[in-house]
Amino acid sequence: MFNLTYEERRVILFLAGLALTGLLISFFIKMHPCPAGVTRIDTDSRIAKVDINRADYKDLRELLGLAPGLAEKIIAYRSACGRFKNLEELKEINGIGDFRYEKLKDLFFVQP
Amino acid sequence: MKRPLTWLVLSFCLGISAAGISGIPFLAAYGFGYIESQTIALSAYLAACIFFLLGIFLFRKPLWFNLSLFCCIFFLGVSTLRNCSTFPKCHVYNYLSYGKENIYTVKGIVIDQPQIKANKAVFPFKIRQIYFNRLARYACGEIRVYANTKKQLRYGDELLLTGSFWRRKYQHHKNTRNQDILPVLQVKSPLYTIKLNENKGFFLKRLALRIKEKIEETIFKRLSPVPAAIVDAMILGERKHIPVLVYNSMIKSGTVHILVVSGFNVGIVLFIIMLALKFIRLNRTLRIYAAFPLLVIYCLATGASTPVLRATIMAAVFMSAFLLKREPDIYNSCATAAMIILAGDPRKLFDIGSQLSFATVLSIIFLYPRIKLFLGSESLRPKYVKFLLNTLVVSLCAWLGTLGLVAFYFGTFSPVTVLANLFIAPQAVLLTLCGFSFIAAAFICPPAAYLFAHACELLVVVLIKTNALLIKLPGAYFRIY
Repeated sequence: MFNLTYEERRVILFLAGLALTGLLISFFIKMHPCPAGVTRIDTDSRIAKVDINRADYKDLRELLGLAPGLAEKIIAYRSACGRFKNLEELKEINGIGDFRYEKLKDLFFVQP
Repeated sequence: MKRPLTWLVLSFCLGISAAGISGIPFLAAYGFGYIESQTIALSAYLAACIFFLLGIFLFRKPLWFNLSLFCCIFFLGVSTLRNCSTFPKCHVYNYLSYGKENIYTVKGIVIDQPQIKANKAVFPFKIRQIYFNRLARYACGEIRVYANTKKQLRYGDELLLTGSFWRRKYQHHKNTRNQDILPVLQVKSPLYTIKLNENKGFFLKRLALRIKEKIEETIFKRLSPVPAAIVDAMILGERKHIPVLVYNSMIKSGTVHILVVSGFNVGIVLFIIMLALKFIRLNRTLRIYAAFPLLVIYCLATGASTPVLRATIMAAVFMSAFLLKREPDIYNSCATAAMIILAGDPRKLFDIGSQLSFATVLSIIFLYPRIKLFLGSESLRPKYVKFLLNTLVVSLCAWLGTLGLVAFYFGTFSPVTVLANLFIAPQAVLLTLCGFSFIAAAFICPPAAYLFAHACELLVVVLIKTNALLIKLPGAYFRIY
């Protein structure tokens, strides 16, 4: 049918091997996109902010990239004191000073 | 001559067809209930790997090696199509809800030249980020955008767009089977189109589109609207300006293919390039090296549609054969073109344009020498009778090759096509040559361009009149459904 010489067989096997490898890589890239590429919040405050009263631990970690300790503290504060009424309340959490508050306030909003 | 590539492409196409038409499960274990695309892709991939390994073990046994190779490529075809229709987790489809009430903001890049119609820009858009519910996510995938904007948008612009999504519906589902129907983003207010950056695309495509823009500007500046639209379609493949009446009459006579950039145009461009390079006394090898990037630019400028891509690859294979001092074979070069196009996007196998393009080429290269031999046209004298008969035979071959596809997809049967092509095709050749000469003159010697412009206008009028006359013949065309 193909009537291939040994050289041609080698070349075709090599190309088929390459195609199989490429397909496997493409398949795994589709199935497991890199973590940084999955979700993140944009710094543009016009568009993307997270409701601090609705975000759970996973959102805080994966969407906003907060440290595990800080995310736990925000969840614990909300459990203990109820909903955030304004973002200034973040300063009451142990470990969030003025400097960190300035960074965090752009990531959240409070749904009235 | 051996044609191994033809068989390989055939088995690859069989695999794609099997996956596309039937969606059969490839392992019995997965044969129950709903089978996910990923599962089929993985199963077929495993089968391809098994046959690949068998091929290695049976390397010295030709029959078994060939069988293993055939099966390996078959399953590779299945797997490629399934993988292609598997969307990554960050794909835009995973985030969309259609309807006016769902407002999204997307950031991404314009990936083709926008078409402007009454302050509306229509263009394909590659998404990088999507914003909704006050969250921003990295996303991938393509959408089509209908933006109400007066901004000058170009290929490669990075935009921030806000609007709602809807999905296009098609009446003829068989035409769009296995095709990627892009969701449409409707941007209603000009305020919602924000340009963030420019020149983000591929530089060669950017250059090609700039050249195309300049050529179009020249065509529409120096020709009246209808001839300009037809010359634009024949040289650059832009059909958006063609009057509906002219277009429909060409569909009826089966000569609409002349309004599409095809292998013929690529051939003419290659001929012009080679001739121009010959004038500057480059030797043949250098001419071939120089012609290749110029052909790629022409291919990109015309939108890299399948017929142009096929013709460009075939031309490249032919030129490479010369460089490698090998005898070129048209079946192998056609198979190479098919393999490259299908490896890039296996769904092209179900695309009407691709099917018609390959069917025409294959029917001409297969049937033409046989019919010519049967008729004994080689010994005919005088020469113009031989030329006319050969033209008729080419037209007949192309018609026979596409007869079934045209009837199936468009529901028309046009016996007048063979006769129409006998008259229209030579005029189209003249018009294309005249069009290229007109463009070359417009850039090199603008005053002389008017001479070619008038010739172009005359040829367009003759072409339209001939076509109108042909479709008035009794039994020229029939509607099947």
